[in-house]
Amino acid sequence: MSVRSAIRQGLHLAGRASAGVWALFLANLALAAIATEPVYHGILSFSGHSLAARMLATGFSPDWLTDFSFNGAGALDRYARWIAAVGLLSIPVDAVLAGGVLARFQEADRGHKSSGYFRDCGRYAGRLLRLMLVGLILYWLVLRLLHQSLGGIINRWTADWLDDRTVFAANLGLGALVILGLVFVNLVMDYAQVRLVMDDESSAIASFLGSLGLTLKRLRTVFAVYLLPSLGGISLLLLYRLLMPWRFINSHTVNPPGRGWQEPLTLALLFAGQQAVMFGRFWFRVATWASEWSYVRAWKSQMGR
Amino acid sequence: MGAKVLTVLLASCLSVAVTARGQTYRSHIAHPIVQYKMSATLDPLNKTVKGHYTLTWWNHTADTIPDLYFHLYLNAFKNLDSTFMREGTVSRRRDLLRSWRTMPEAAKWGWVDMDRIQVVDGPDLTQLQTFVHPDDDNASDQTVMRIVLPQPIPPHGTIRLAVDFTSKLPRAIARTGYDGDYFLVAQWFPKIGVYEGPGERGRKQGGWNCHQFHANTEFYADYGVYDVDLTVPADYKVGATGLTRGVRQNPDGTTTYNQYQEDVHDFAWTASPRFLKITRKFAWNDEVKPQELLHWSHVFGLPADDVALRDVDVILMLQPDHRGVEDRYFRAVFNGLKYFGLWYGQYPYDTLTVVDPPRHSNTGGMEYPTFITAGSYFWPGAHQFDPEGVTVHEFGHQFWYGLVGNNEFEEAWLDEGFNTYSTGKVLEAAYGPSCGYEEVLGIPIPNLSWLSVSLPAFPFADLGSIPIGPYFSCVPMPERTSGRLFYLNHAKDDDLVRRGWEYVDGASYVVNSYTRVGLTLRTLESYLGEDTMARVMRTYQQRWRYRHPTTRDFIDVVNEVAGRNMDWFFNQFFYNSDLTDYAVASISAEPLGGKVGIYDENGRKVAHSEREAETKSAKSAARVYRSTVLVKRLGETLAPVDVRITFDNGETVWEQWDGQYRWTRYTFDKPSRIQVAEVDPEHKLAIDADFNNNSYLRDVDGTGAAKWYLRWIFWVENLFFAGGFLA
Repeated sequence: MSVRSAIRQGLHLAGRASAGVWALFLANLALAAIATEPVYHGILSFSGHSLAARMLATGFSPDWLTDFSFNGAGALDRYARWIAAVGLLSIPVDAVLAGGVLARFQEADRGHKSSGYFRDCGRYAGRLLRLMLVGLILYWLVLRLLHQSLGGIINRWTADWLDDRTVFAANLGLGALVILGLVFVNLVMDYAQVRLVMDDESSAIASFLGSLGLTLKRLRTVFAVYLLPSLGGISLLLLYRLLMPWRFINSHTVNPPGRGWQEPLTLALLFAGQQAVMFGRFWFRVATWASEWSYVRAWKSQMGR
Repeated sequence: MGAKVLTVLLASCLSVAVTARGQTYRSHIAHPIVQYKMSATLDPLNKTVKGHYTLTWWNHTADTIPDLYFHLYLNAFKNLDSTFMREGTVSRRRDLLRSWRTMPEAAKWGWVDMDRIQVVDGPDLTQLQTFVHPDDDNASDQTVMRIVLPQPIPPHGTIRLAVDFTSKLPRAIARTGYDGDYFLVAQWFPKIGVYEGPGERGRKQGGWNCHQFHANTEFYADYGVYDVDLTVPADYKVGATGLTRGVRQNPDGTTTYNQYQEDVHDFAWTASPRFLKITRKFAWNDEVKPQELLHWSHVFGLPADDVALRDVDVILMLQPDHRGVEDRYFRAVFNGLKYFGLWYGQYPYDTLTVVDPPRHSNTGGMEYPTFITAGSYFWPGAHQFDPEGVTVHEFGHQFWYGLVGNNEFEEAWLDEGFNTYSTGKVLEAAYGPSCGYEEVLGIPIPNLSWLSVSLPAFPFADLGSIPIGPYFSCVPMPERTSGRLFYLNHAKDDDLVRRGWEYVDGASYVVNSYTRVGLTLRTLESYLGEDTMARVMRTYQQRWRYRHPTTRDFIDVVNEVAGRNMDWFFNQFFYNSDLTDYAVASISAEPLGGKVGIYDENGRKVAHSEREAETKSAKSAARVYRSTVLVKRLGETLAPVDVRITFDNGETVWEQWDGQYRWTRYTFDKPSRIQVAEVDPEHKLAIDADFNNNSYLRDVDGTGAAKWYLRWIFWVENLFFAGGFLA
């Protein structure tokens, strides 16, 4: 199967898996809202009665951040710890939710109704969590071997170099290597998730090994099927960066007399715009899985498996 | 014979006297205290400098002086038992030396020996050298040497000394030493201390002021003349204090540079075969617009000729991989020459040499007379002020340290603090605010992060933390309040006016010598007005050029130029470690509804209910509100502050509070309710610990918090989305 066919079928499949997109999107939104809620309350209680509140509505000031950091001792550290904790929780949550998404593709393949999104999540949860652990170990190995060990060697090696351009090049090369390593692991783990659900009874390790074999055999195709839909999601972020009208937003988050609706409407539009981007990113995430699914299914039938 | 003649002829041909430019500098010192005639030869292989000088030292006092004191600064790097190394709160430098474990011991340490010292045409003093420790009881410290003279120096007498010395340069540390084939030779020769007579710098009795080299101190020396021959291998390029008067190629494959400078108090130099040596002229007529000259002439009440600048040769010793920042270096120096010159008086010397040191050489960001080291990266961000910030700052030291020679051991703030203030002003005038930057894979990205989230060790082995923030674009960083958070975090560690080695740690030294002074001088400027402050600074600079002022001397200039006694200001902000914080604690607005309660009316008791009063008030066209503002002094320092009150109808009322007691209250009966009250609304107190509480809105405004909540949600959603790939 060609890359183009896999992606075309994947996009079609993703269109039929909107429940999965919504589940991932809403879970992520809820976790992010919980993780950042202390920031909201911190700002409100610190500056709600201050003119700084009006400044924050229209812009930002490093002086305000100094005030906030110094006079709310430890608050930023607490926020960071809380965000990190919720972030860690989001990893297994995403692993479990992936089962429900991938089961939608199974349903489309077999032409029968699946037993419900969350039931499917529960069905694959154990194996997907075990697969997640395998993935985490592999990510750790990449970072340990490339970033930490090789990076340490490069640091020692270049410590006395006088020319910072060549040191930069060496570190940039290392950075590229680390990113390639992480992408490779991610590629294998993505296909492993697909195989785990597609093969239904397959264990986490078997799925991983199967995916590794496929990736090594068909690296170029497998990578293209993985990369292109992923780039769709990244392009949405770029669009957000380029198109979000911050000047308009900043000038409309203060209510002029007689226009009390302006500020909440502007905030609502901001939120809607941001969440549209996030929904799009999750849609492309699901489309990536779907494309991988289509490719693996075609490959398996080709192989007679 | 023939061969000998040929050799002489060849040597004559090679000996090309090249004068870069004739000296135009005219000395401002009638009788210099020190005159060094020196020659020094660099041995790049052994990292040593062999030197000889003749020092003519003049006793400018009426004291009879029985001894001599010398700084042997390089001995600070001789071993871990020097006072410099023992002052362990800055263990970073000790750690640095220890981290060079693979280097042979002899290669990484530095020292200086006075091989011979002799009175010219007089006795040999070599055996009379003793190490002394005026600041502590560290017998192992060898950074100050004393010689008791067989014959004391009479009042206003002169002594001439012939000195041979050997300096072993350390692996570059604390802005001196070598790194590969790069040499930054500073604090390198035995340097005579400062003899202060009775009355000088507040002394009751005369004596030597010659402190040991501490981890947190810099230098102090007398003004004089340096005439130095530097001999290096022919392929080495040299930059040094003063004007290059001549260059001579020697038959042994070395080159000798003659450097000369009057009216300076130190001499430093650099040499490396890798440097690109680039010279450009600061043509002041091209840099300063006529209206700028007229403006400052008007501000200072001086003829334009007195405010005029002079041309200067700027020599850049650039790393070859830093060609991309060549223009930025020159522009930064030119901006320094322009603004420092216009504000404080022209830079008087003929040359300025700027060294761009190699990476990790620990030699960036240092000042010596007519010679500075800056520092950059081959690819700094456009608004990163790198190299601009450090270049303007180190150039500024030509004025605060160079021309006005305060004692950096005892009152470091007089140069570092003044220079922090001045640097900020120049950067503002020349560039506007800088941006915050993050580096991603070494690539500078304009960004300001609110906080960093530490990544767990598993699976992010040693990846550190990721910044979480709202921006990926330039966030203007105000120069006026630069470093305020660092100051606040260390504000209570020490009083500002303190000897350099007596601060509790390195951070306190930095805060009290740099940051706090910068903020305090900005505050002073707000109280005096910009023009008056400019006159203060210029008067102080001009009055104390080529001399050694104290804190009190500066305060006297402030009082004189401002025409009022500002001692209260300095007592509050310099001589203690108190925080400043004025706040609006609360505001309220109640309708004045008339009578509520029992009143005697026409000989009988009449009851008026609150509801009745409210109804009456609501119907009244002349409704009146009682607005109350409570302003508090939460900090310990006392300062007069303005209070601005704004009402719903747009009316604004200004009040002034002396700020002495803990609180004050203002009450207004007006037809409109109070909307917001502000104390110090213009943020004159740049040093205030909390600008946020300077204002109080009657009604909570949650828009800012809501907006940032949405942005944070989006940012963290993306973060978690990326984390989802780990699943």
